[in-house]
Amino acid sequence: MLMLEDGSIDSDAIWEGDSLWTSLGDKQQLVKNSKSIMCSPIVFGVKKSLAQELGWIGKDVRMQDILSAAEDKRLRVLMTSASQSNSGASAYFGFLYAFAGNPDVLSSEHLEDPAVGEKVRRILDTLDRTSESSGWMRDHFLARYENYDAMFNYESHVLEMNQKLAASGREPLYIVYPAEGLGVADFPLSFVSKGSGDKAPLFRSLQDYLLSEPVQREFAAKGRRVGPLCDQVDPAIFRPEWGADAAHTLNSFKYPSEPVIRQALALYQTAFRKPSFTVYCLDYSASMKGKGREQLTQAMRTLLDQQQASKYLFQGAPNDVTIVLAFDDQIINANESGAWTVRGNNPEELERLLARIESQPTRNRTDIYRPAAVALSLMKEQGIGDRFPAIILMTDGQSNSGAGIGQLEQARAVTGLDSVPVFGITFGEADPAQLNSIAELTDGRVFDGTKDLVGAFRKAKGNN
Amino acid sequence: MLEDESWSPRAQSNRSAVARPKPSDGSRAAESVSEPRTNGWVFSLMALAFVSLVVLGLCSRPATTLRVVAGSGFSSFEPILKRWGEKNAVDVQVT
Repeated sequence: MLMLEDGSIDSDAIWEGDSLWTSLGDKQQLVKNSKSIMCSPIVFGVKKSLAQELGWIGKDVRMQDILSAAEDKRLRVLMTSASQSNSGASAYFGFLYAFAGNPDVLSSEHLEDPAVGEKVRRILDTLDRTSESSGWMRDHFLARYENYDAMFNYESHVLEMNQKLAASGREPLYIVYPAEGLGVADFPLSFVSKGSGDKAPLFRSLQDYLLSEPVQREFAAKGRRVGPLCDQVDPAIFRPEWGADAAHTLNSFKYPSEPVIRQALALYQTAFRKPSFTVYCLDYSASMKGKGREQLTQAMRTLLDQQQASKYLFQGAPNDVTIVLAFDDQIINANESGAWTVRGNNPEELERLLARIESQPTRNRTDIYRPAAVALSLMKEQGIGDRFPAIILMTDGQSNSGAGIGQLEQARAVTGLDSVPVFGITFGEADPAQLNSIAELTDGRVFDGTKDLVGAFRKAKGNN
Repeated sequence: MLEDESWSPRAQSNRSAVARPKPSDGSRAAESVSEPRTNGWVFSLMALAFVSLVVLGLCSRPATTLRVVAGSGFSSFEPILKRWGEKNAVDVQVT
């Protein structure tokens, strides 16, 4: 959306979750010949035994029912970020409509209604984990099936997950179509016209291919709804015992006007979402000198400068906690962590933190495990509270000093914070294997910042 | 192959300089007359082989690229896009 908005897009086609984002971003009218390739509604997938226990099988389930069950601690729920992911945004707009009493079109007045805000905040507060990727979230749920009970996600992702659960003899998820309706993703493929038009015939050929019968059948086999009315499904995966119901009339809300959408997303980021506790561990070893340090500063500016952050929907919230640890083979700012901590989203305080990041000189060798271990100690000391925790660890080198991953394992055991994910960002000569082992240990992920450090930081931050 | 320095104009001119007969006495004159002719055939054959390889390379490589920005949930569809690319000699780059 942003690349379309500022005209920096250098691709020939866009294939995304919902045509909403193209229409919001396409200020320069670059997008042509957009066609929906398939559909999938956003649903609530919940472990079947729990759905039975809650009396939800074959019944109309309202958003209030889900909120009550989650607040009663009967559900541990996953949902992607509404500001970074289409499925998260669709679920979030579903909450807004449901708690605003299902108006024909959502307005600013609904968003400013304290009763609506309070319920939306409450349902978001019940979430156990978030992410910027609905596919990753599905895979994470599958990998840690005992840790969670339900997720808001695409119907197709729930069905694909159920195939894998069935294959391994585990309990499937039951699909709940909330009575008030959630969004329906239409997955449009669009041509990006940049004047010459010489790729247009190729694009049309690709679009025709994706809409051809054999390929549509392939999409249906992966749990997508296909056909001109998105009402054709593959019965092999669309199983009624999983709650899948192709005949179910999909209640979908009408997205409001652009200003209301933007207001809703800004409110999500600054007022409604569960707050975050983020420790950035930034590599200031000697090899970061020069361009590395410049790019690091630019990346941090997009996240902490509130004006730039608002462009990417990364604004801080009043209860967020942000800490920066500067490291080489030691924690450079170990004795001044208070000065490198910002509680809340005061733009001036965040600006002062940025100034410290910018003026920090580079130094010696690299130890990537120590900062992650110290980050856990700081989290323990300050208290995570009811926040999404994350450690974002950026390095451009191989850890060549210190006691290795053992010190992180020890810190997890000592602090008891064994569910704090570490998101690694590679840059320069970083060793992905070292960061992967940390991500594996902590249920985090690794993002490649070698080509786009700013983008990698944005993806990592999208996880809390 | 195209980056092989031996085929750059600069390298070619160096090669000519090496092949050029040196001013010499009569006993070496016969050798120096036949050498360029042999080298000419060799060069012709090598040039022909090179041109054939380039043509073959161009024919087997996709004529054009199509860059597609896809959401993070589309990775399972990348093989379908690539398959269309192979059928149509298009290098589909998914980012």
